Amino acid sequence: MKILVQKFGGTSVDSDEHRQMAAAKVAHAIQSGWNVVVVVSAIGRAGAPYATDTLVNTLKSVDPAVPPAAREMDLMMACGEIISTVVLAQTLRARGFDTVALTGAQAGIVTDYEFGNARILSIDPSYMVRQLESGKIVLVAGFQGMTTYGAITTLGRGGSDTTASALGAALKPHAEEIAVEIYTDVNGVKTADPRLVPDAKTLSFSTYEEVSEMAHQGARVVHPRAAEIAHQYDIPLWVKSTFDEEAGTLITTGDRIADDHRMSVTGVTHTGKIVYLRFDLPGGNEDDKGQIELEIYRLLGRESIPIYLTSTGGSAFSFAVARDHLARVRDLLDGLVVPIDLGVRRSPPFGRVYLLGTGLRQAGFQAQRNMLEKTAHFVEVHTVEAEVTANCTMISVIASRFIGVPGVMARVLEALAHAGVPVYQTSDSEYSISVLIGEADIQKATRALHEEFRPDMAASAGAR
Amino acid sequence: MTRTTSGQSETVHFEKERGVTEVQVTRGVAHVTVDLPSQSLAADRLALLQSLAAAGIPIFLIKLHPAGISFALREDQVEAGARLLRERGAAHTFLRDHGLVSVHAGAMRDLSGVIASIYEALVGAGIAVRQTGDAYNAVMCLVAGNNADRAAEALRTCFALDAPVPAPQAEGAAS
Repeated sequence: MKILVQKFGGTSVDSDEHRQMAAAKVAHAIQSGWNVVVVVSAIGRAGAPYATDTLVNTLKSVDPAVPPAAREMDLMMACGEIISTVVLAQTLRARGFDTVALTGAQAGIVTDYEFGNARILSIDPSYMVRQLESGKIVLVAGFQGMTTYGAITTLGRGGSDTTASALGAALKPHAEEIAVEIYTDVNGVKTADPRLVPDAKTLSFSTYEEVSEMAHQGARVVHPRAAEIAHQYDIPLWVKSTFDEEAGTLITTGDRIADDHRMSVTGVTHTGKIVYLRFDLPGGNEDDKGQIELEIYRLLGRESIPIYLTSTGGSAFSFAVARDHLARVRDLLDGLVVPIDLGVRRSPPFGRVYLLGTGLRQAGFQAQRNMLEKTAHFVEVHTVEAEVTANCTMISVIASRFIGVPGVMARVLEALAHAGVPVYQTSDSEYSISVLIGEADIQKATRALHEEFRPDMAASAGAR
Repeated sequence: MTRTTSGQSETVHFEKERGVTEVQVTRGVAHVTVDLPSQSLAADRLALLQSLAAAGIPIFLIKLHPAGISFALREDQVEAGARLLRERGAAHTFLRDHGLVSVHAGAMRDLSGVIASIYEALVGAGIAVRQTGDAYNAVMCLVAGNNADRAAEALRTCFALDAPVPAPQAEGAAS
């Protein structure tokens, strides 16, 4: 049998009109000879009655001083997908289809115990397969699974995309043909954010790696976990719109895409609001830098604060964090003391300490400094004040086919210079070139780079 | 894919373990720091990158500094790079014989502690990191060539990995 997994995001099921459009996609797939498994996200976005954020806030509002247990939080969050799954099942039933709605657990999805960010360990698809064989449409609540002891878990960011890819992988051995379609409110993967570049093209094809890098660099496309599973099990992944009839974007391996359909540059993406912090050690002491970086990264890692654009060189190092995390980062780093062991010594200094500041000069920082000053006869005390550049964003050119081609960074900087956009830092990998710029320049910069690389994006039939 | 069959039930085990999956070492990398005059820093950086591009020299790990720019290049490009820098009259420092140690994971942004663990392993082994870079699936650290194997070993131990992955040749990134 041919099995198609169709995943519908929150905006695809947030009204009866949209659910009818989603149901029409399912009906069309059935008419085309597919056996269909539908994965459903929670209804709507923040503010909608059964949206995940609404459910979370309901639980938190019981007593804001008492955080809900992670296990119960997952139980609550899972309700959003269950409600939307049953409602969409009923929508299809009303159209005359035979349906069965399943929770993630009923679909056989077993996860680890990391509530809020669980990873799928295994899927037993046998019940789903029997239902498909009996002619039913199987609807599965996305974003969730169950531990081996029966506790409901949620899969974290991109959870429903991950459910769809994972079900594709689990059902593949039972299918003569398998595909996964991710339905959202845009008609595929774009060469840029259409809000910034109105004439951004929709990619006809892209690779798993390109899409993962785009997501890493801030684009809201398929979640990298879903792309990773699809890649690992060689499952074609489509990104389509619920609201139009466009073909969408096929995500597959590079060798499946004809050369004349592949582009040197996949697109221009931008990440959110970020803040750049740069530390320069006084006296140019490079030897102590690693220890200070370690202490900072350890603290941020412990708090699950992601860092980007790490750079180190000479006596300085720098990194970026999401602006939402800045207050916490400052709390953690302002007044942080990093001691350096100088070994056994007969005369002062017996050690060296670095006192970190982030420009706040909070009470903790002042108290630390006052105390350290009293030890100044015995230990070297250095204050390292971070240079904090707020109101930044990161813009990236995804260019996996430019590996080894000299001059891409020069083109990026030249285009931005012509557009009058100052660049604070750069980063490059085998998939992309990124630059840190002021947030106010985001539209100007995106348009300038999209224009600069337009020939590389449109040289083939890969974009329309 | 792992499939377990028990009676009528068939279970598929597939999602990768969370965390780091492999550590690779790429040898034959040099690192260059170029000092540029502060009056026309942005323009000079751009002019330097354009001349490297015109000379067909691929570079990577490009970072901007208040006093100039730094980048890495393959050892076999060092001669051409040095000649170009001399011709431009740019003060520069070459660090030869470095290795790029890449730590690969599924989705780096979901793993906020990975960089901390990398530094823990490398600082613990007394290895200085010259430069860093990141992609969706990897964090790259440039270390002195004579430390590269030790760095990889420390990282494999840190992330409980076993067999080393064969080293590829240095290749310039998209720059």
